[in-house]
Order: sequence, then structure tokens, then C-alpha cells
Amino acid sequence: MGDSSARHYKHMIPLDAQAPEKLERRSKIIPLDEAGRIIASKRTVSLAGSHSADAAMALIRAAIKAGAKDMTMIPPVTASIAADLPIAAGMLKKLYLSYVGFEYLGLAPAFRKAAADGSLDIVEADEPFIILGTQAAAGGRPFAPVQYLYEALSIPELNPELKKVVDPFSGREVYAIPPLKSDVFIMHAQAADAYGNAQCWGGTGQERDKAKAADLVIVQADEIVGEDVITRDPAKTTIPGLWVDHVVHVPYGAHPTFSSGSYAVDEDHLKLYLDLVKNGKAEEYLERFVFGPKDHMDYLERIGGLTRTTALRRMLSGI
Amino acid sequence: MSQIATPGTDRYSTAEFMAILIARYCGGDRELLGSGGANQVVSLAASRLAQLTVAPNLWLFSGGAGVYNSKFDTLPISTWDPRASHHAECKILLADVVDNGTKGRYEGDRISRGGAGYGGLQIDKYGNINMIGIGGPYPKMKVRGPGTVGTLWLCSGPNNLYVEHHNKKIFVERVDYRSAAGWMNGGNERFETLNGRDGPQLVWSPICVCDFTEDDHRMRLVSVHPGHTVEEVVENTGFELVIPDNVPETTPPTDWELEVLRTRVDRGGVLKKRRMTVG
Repeated sequence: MGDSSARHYKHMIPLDAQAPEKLERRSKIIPLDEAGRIIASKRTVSLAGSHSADAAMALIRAAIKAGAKDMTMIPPVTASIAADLPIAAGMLKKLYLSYVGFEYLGLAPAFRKAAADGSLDIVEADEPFIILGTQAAAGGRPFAPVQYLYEALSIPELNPELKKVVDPFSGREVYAIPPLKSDVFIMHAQAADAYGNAQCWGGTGQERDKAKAADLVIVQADEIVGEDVITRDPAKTTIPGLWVDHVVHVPYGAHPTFSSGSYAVDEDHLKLYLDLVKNGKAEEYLERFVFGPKDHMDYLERIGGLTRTTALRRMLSGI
Repeated sequence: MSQIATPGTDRYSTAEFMAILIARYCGGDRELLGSGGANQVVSLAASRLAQLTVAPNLWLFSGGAGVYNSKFDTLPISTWDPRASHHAECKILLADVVDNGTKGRYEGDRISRGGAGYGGLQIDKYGNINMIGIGGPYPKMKVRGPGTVGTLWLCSGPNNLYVEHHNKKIFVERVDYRSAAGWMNGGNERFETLNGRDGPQLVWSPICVCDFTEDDHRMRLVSVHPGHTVEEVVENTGFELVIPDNVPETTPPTDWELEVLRTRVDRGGVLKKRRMTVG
């Protein structure tokens, strides 16, 4: 029989002969605009965060700026501007809906308008649909079962992606949620190292499942830290760097949303957004804060610079 | 009667040699999962040694402790040894392990697995593994195995096989029970059953290294360790191995390899005492 293929012979080559001149661990840090282009080249994007907290806003703005169009979004179970801004910018064709709104500040204006004019394909999902569907995709499972609860609701009639299957144990019909796989998962972290180990100081537990359910993972971090910070407590690392493809360094990158343990939500900015979009001036907002800024630092200048970001940090202490 | 597998020299032990071989295999710039499989102390040492010398982007996973990239210089007993968490970079949950193991990462081949792999009570000529037991009918077995644990992961992507004892009881024609799929019954059966997912690549034994033929996926001898012969391998294997015309001697460890291993990975000399057998 023939010889073994050469790729299996590496165990024959001593480490001395293989050792590179300089043993260097590869950095995963890339520029924000490059990350934006990567996201814009994909079809399905998933997000973490909660409502107006910990949204990967810098990546979302970069994707819009890079021309992202007709994408499908798997949002967190509650989202405000992280879903509404992409809709305002025409980035989304389809949205898995659980909750999109601004809670005490009102409904989401771009979302409402897109729903009314039919320009957005809305899947009538909900919290279990998104969380359990993500878990199914995370483990490569064919679907996620849910007991009969949906029978009491309108959702099975409205959401064709929800199917019925027979529970082999009870014989009763139950519901099957499809696996919600994404092309790219984008996540905001307070800290990450150059190798992708990322700390979310808030976090809702969905981060890991969304990462496992994605083909590509991009982390934006307020701060890039060294090994000493990451190894101090391995349990604080939300996503292991092995699962992360790219890291982007964007201080205050969650703005205008909260960054857990780091800076507060910029409510004035959210009100400005709502005011402009509600009054048909979404283009003005996009020009001022998405397309206009030449880079992220310029964006920070436009929202009020160091004076504003310092105030947002101070708000965490209630001062 | 089994004998201690020795390399025929006092310069190094068989376990040290196996750690070095597996580290060599992991060499390269690519991102690689160095996973703690069966007989994890050698696998741990190999992954750490590779990280420190030839594989800077290898991620060392200590399965039992659930952590990535611990930075020990005295070898823990196994991956479940809490000391294997020393200066780790991330702790994950068993649910994450199960998700990654069942999903695999074969789609797009984003993460390749390296290092040591899976062992068992029996391994057959197609690389199938048995951790369930020997004899039958089930459940009345002559030897009740410890159980299947996470050997299912071998179904979700390529890996290697690893044994510390080379004899006819372990290397059998056909496993009594299949707890992890190698190449199943050979040929394309694995690809057809498991949606094209790649199978076991190499077999690390204390006396030789094997791989699998490209067409039938039968186990084939690649190299024989110093101090051992092709005849000894054949005598102690319970099925017909594919033997190429030329079977080289496995390259022995260099002084530098042994020095790095003993000063930066295994200062306590755990691998010097690890007992491996033949026959």
C-alpha cells in the first residue's frame, strides 16, 4: 500500500526544527471600518445586550456606513436603538421580533414606519423563540421544543416558522422553534484582550449561545486589556477568544446605550434620535452621526466629546 | 504478559516522548484547539509544550476544569485537577462543551482540533472506540467499561486516537460496542452517515504512530518508536495493519525538546513516572 500522506509526518520533525524565529500569538484586532465591511457582506446578524444597554452600536454604525442592506437581524429579546437605527438606515429586510421599542420614551419610530409600509419582514417571534432557537443553533440541534403554551396564543397563526411536532414521550403536540443560526454575531464588551477573550460586565447569558450559533464573531470593546486582567479571574471572561474572530477597540462604543459598569445611557441623545426620526428626519440623524463622522473618535466629538463621555461615566455614581 | 514500554534508553520516558510527538504534530501558526482527551496528562503536557514552542495560537482546553489556556509549569494530574485552572483565560460551562462537541466546527472549518484524542477499552482497525464494555450479551459483559462520556464528539469532526497500552485486547478486529465512531465499517460509511464530517486522523501508541488509508480508512502504520520494531507492532495488534514498504523510525526527542518539557511544562517529572505497556 502507498505511503502515508505528508501531512501526517509532522510528528517526525523535532520542535527545534519547527520553532519559528519569533513565537508570536496573533492579534485579532482590526479597524472599525474593516469590521463594518465584513458585517455588511453578510446576510444574517445577531446581537446581544439588553434594551438600551450594551448594544454593539459602533459596529452597527460601521456596518450601515459600509452599505449594509437587506440583512436579517436576530436581536436581543429587547432592543431599542440597536434595532431601530438599522431599520431607519434600510439595513434590515427581516427582523425576528421579540420587543423593539424605547420603553418609557415611547415606541420605536423607524420600526413602526417600516411595519406600516411593509418594507420590513417581521417574524412574530418572542423571548423563548429567540433564546431557545439560538440555543438550538448553538448546539447544532435540529429545533427547540416548547410545551403547548403557544396553543393559547395567536402566535402560531402569525409565525409560519413555528411548527408543530409530536412529543414522543407524552404523545401530545408541542411546538418546535427552528435553530436561529447567524452569519455574524456582533457584541459589545467592556474589556477584551487582543486574542478575543472578552468580558461583558453586564451580560444576559445569551452572549455565549449567540457566539456558538454564529459563523463569525466580532467583539467591540471599550478597552483592550492585557493578560494580567484576563487571567485574574477566568470566570469573568464571557466569551473565550477561541470563539472570536475579530476584536475592535472602540471606547464608548456602546453609546448612546449603557455600557454595564462603565458609563450610563445617553438619554438626551436617544431623545434627539426619537425626535428626528419621528419627524421624518432620519436622514439628518444618519448624516450627523453615522455617515458624517470620519471615524469613531469624530463620532465621540459629535456627541459632545470628553465633556459628555465623562458626564456619562459620572452618572453611574448618580452624581 | 504485558511489559513496560520503554524507548530502550534512560534518556527519556515513553510518556515524555509521546508528549513531544503530539506537540510536534500541533506545530504551526494556525488557530488550533488543543483538547484534553483521554489519558489527559500527556495531552495536557503536549498542548502546553506546543504552545510554548511551535503553536502560539493553540488554545489549550482543560476539559475537566472547563478552562482555556491555563499556564501551569508543574503538570496537573489531569484536566479535572483544579490546579489546571492556574492563570486560565476563560472558564466555560459543560453546556458550552456539549454544544461545541455536538455542533462541531466543521462548517467552514473555523476551528481545527489538534493534539491527543480519544482512547478506549477497544480500538478497531477502522478507528472505532469502545468505552461501554467487553463481551455480552449486554448488559452481562465480561468487563463493564466506565461509560461513554464525551466520546460522541468524535462524530462531529476530525480528531486523533490515543492509547497508553498496545496489545491485542485493545487493538481488536472489531469493537464489541461502538461508543465513538471512527471510520465505522470503512470506505465512505462515515461520510454518508455523518454528513461528510471528517474522521480520526492519527493513532498515538507507546510503540508507534498510525494513520488511516485514504480509500478504505483502514489503520496503517506510519512510524515505529525507537526501541521497538515493526514485528513487535504486528505481534501486538489484533488485526491486520496496513504496512507500507518503508516504515521509518519515529524521530527521537532532541535535547532541547526534553529540556523545555522538563523545565517549563513538567517540572515535577510526572511524565517520567507514567507507566505504559506493550503486550
